[in-house]
Amino acid sequence: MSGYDIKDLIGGAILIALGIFAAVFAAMTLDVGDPAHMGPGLFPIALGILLTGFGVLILIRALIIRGTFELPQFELRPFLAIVASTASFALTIETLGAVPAIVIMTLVARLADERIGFVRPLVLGMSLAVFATLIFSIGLKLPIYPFIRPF
Amino acid sequence: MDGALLQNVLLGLETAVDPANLVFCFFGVFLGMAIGVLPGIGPLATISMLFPITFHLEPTAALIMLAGIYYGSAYGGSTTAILLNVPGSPSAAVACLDGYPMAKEGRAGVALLLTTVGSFIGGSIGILLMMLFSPVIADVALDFGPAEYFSLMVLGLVAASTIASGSAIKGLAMVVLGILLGLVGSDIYTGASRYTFGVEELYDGISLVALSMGIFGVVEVIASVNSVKGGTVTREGLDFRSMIPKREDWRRSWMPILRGTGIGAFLGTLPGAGALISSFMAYSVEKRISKHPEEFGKGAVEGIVSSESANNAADQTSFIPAMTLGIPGSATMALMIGVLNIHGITPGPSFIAERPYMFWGLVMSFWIGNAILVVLNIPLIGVWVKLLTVPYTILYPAILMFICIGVYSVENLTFHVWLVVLLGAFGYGLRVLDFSPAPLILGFVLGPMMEENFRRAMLMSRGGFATFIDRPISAALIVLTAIILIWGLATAFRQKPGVTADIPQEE
Repeated sequence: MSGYDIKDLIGGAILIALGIFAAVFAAMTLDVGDPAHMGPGLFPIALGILLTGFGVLILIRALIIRGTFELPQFELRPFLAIVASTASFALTIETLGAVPAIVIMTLVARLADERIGFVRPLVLGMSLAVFATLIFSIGLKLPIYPFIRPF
Repeated sequence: MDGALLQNVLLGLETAVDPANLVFCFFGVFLGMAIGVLPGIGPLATISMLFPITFHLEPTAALIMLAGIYYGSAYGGSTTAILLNVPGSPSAAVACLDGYPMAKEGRAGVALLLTTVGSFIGGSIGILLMMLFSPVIADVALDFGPAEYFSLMVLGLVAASTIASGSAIKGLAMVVLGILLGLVGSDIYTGASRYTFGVEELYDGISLVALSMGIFGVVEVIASVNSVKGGTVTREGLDFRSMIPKREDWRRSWMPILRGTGIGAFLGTLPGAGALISSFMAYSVEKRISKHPEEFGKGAVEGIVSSESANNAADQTSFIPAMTLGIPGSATMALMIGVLNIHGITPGPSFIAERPYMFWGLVMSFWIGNAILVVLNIPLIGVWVKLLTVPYTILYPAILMFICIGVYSVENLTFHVWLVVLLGAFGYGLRVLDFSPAPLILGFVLGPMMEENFRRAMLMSRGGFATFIDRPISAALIVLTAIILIWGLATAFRQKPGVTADIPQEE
């Protein structure tokens, strides 16, 4: 049994890409200056190069060392559900208001769970919405509006 | 000196017993305990979630509350470890080893009581050290110039990322990435905008709240949804009578408590070591010097008291470098410093002198908080057990709601919620690939300060890089950094395949 560490192969490659991007983008858009009077670009370029270097080290190490490694465990379902849930809040908080936003985000978030249901998540969402309105809008008097008319 | 200390203590007490501060201390400690008990929400995620509320608070109260969450969670984590064999917080992982076997023998009460005593002693000695040494360190650091500061920050970042995370190179890469993220926004000297891609909301930089909520809060939820299950808890051995330890237990506990405290207090001040490593270290020391090492893992009282007093001592002493030098040793400390920065306060050598009421108020609130913890922990065990039966399917939507409303309420910008979405997705990717987010936050908070000090040092030396080696303190720090760096990289390449460090992530 001997294989590559897939995690580090991917990780190293991503770091190299990010590092090169950071350094090149900074070099193209920012002034480097001279050591005594550093411009805004010097530090980012140096860091970009450093990041690329670490990426290369990780990649080389992953290519040299072989053994049995865990494969990356990307849990797609919770990932999609939670990200979509947060995004739905961003979309609805200023168009529909906090109460619908919280109910919708709870319904979407519960898709992460393997047990499907509609009634319980709905009850949970509504309780959370009431709770949040009491604490944030009424209690702390933050400018968060429970309902907004869409038009 | 002694008169001054007494005066400071009185000043601190005055701040700490202020009714509002007392309420926030209580609230923080209580909340810290609750989240310490619950697996799947760590202290970092909670502090990030409460971060926005602190904008509306007075900075002293905010600091007292967040600190309460921090050390409160160390207490609470051991409760879950003993009762359920699941660490409620990472630093309580060691408490499982002997705590759970004790619970199975019907001695859960004894274990809980002794860890509470150990935690209190560890915490108290940690606070004492902070009172004695902070002013001294601050005095020395007053002479530091930008070159020393830059070197010190490099040392802190390198040590924290090489020691704390499983892989040295990956930790260092995360630090660099964090610094880069910290540079986004307008450059303070020239006004040039860096990595903003024309997005107006980014001119002020990436918000620390959005970053920490994304990479700690959202990521933790994604990773826990299908792995955290509610458990069943036996209530056997939890009534008050069975809690009284036998004389034998006391006799076996007091030396391990003191040794654990010593180890924790020392490691807490070092960047990267902190509560987690010190609890592991204290445990293995006890096991090594014990006359009956075969009992460890089967319910040895020494094992739980030493590790718990160690992590509580470390939690307290980790405030020393953060408050006196302005250099955080862990991601949690970085968030604390971030809170102060938002209120326009920079911790550092002049912090104690300029805001004595705040520093000493914080120290005194530690005493009060530790006392509250002792009083609360035992009677509330019934509540904690109840709390453990709340299913995660109810908890995680609530956590997400707090994250979203919290980040939105800071400036009423949906842009910040979108940042959380983006950083959360990115952070989950990093987690899947075994990159730890803690060094990233450290880099993010320290990055802008590093650049500023580097620029000033270069300006003063007229562009000579030698300034970092010519100045003796700076040179010593650089040499130390180099040693840690070489050691870290060497072990990375010598590591046996398939054996990755089996230590959970430091928070």
